[in-house]
Amino acid sequence: MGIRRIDYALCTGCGRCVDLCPMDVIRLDPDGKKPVIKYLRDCMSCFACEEECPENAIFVTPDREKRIPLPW
Amino acid sequence: MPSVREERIETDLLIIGGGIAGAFAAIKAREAGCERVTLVSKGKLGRDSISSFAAGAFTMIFPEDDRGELIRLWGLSEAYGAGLYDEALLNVWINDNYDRILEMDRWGVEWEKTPDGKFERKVGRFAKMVGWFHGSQMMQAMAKKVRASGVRIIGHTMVTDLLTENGQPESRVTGALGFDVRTGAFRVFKAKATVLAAGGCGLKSRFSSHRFQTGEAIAMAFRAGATLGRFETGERIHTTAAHFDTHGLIFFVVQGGRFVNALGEPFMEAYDSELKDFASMSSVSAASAFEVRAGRGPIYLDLTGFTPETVRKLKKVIPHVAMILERAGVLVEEKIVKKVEWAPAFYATIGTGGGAITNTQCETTLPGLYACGDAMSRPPHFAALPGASVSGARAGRFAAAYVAGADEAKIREGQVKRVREFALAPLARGDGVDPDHITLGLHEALLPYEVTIISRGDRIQKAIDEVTRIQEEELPRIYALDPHGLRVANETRSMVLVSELYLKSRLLREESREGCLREDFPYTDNVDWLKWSMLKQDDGKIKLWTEEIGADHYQYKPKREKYLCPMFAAATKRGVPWG
Repeated sequence: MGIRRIDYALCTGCGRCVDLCPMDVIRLDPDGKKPVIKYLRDCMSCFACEEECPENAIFVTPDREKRIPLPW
Repeated sequence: MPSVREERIETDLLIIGGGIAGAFAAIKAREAGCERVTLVSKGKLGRDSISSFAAGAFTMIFPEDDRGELIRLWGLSEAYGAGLYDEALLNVWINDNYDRILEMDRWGVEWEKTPDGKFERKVGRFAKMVGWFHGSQMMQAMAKKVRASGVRIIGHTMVTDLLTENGQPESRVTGALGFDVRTGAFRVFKAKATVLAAGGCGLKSRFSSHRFQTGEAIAMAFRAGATLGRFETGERIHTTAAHFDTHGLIFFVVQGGRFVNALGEPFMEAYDSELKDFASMSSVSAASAFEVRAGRGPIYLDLTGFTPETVRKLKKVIPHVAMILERAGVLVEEKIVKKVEWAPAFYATIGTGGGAITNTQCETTLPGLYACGDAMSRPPHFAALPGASVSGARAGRFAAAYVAGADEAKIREGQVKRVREFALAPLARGDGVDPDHITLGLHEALLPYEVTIISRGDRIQKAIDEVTRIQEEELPRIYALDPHGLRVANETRSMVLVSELYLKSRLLREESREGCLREDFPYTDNVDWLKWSMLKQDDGKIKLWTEEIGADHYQYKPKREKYLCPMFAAATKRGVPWG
């Protein structure tokens, strides 16, 4: 659900995803070296991080993280 | 709990919100000679607005277009509210549209063009003529232009309240207060004038790009005592896939995609014989809801007729959407293998609808406060991105003129302390009710189709009662553990207020028209209801009233008649019970 993987073998720790995530789901880890998925439940599957990752290190699924009631 | 630092920022013009409206306001204020312009937004400029996620359709009006025809479409046709329109705003919208497109073109926004370099324009949803830009590139180009214009940009900052000259509501707005959503540091802005450009609220319902749109500007304008209005009108519902998020609907429909019911029958023609699957999202939602009520649900978007050639085109034109369909198991190699279950997504204030009442110069009822884009009150014809561009540019220009003649701004420390404590309360509490629980409560109250799509007074009242209960029992106990949680808690507070404003306005309108159907008042009433709903805070409560739209003075006058709203007539023909 939502952002599912940051491939640390590919990630260079540039911090771009941390800067651009509109929901602030991704943060730099306390060492400040690599991004971590910190607030998964707020991910809205917008794909911004995956699209802008220069190393193609991020994978997002379109499945919603949270249940949203259907109107019927 | 992190320590609460505070930073003071003084500026001439403060712009709250960094979508296309805020970007235009900032650029135009600088162009008009405003020295110090500060733009504050909740994330990274260029990536933190609905505009950043717009698929690319942009209504284009060319100077040679027939003006009377445009007004008949936007002002008088059923799809745009059957005569409930604002002539002055519509004229501005028509006049300014092309200039904004030319500017965006000059600033590096990439548009689809014909081989001889002209803007390519096609028929889009609800008979609009739309041009196309290339998705997220648009806001990236706009952000670049904002930076190049010498605007001070403060990102990752959530503004929660306005500050006023005398520290009380209904006086000149002289700044705002917010906090850094990562560090928790408070920022106090002092400004000669303020532009609100962060009014969109999607209630964190369906639609992937709307979960950070929670209506802060609406909430702060309301608390500052501005007059707001038009919450119940316009295209209040969009639609998307029921179990994942996608966009690209215009592409789908143009390429032969059809809305079908559970029996596989296309049904849109029965509800809108003219626009069919190109009808407004309000109409598609209402038609879908009627089909479901008649036992013919769920509803699907059927793309299984796509040829391999269409799929190749999809992959080329909107690769992002193709990728989503692949990951959702809908698109396998070059074939659409199953129908996509489809459902309405609630738009509380996005695109058209509620916000601060303004004149055509984007002045609100409070001195020093301007509103544009989703933060301003918009009639049904005020299409999202072009409307935001036009109003953003005007807000920037007229706010700059106000700043040029304005006295120094004063703020009151007592008010700073008060609004800071209000914003900080969930973190100070550190324990209590989860914001997500409240959001789900709002969804359960508002999302059922019988509340927001095919409505009725008793059901609206029940939803109001539930929102009131949330306000009284849960909201005072909302908690946060860190600055991120504080952001979510404050977003939730805005959404609860926007829900209340929407529902109460909906209850006020005792008639039916596009986007606002009432089973208990099924007639479109151009005799008694060519009126706008208005509201403001009055002694801690919401005061609601209506004002005539003034159609008798319009050049193109709606007919003063009352008739069964066509959507209900169509439902009867389809054998769907209502009443």
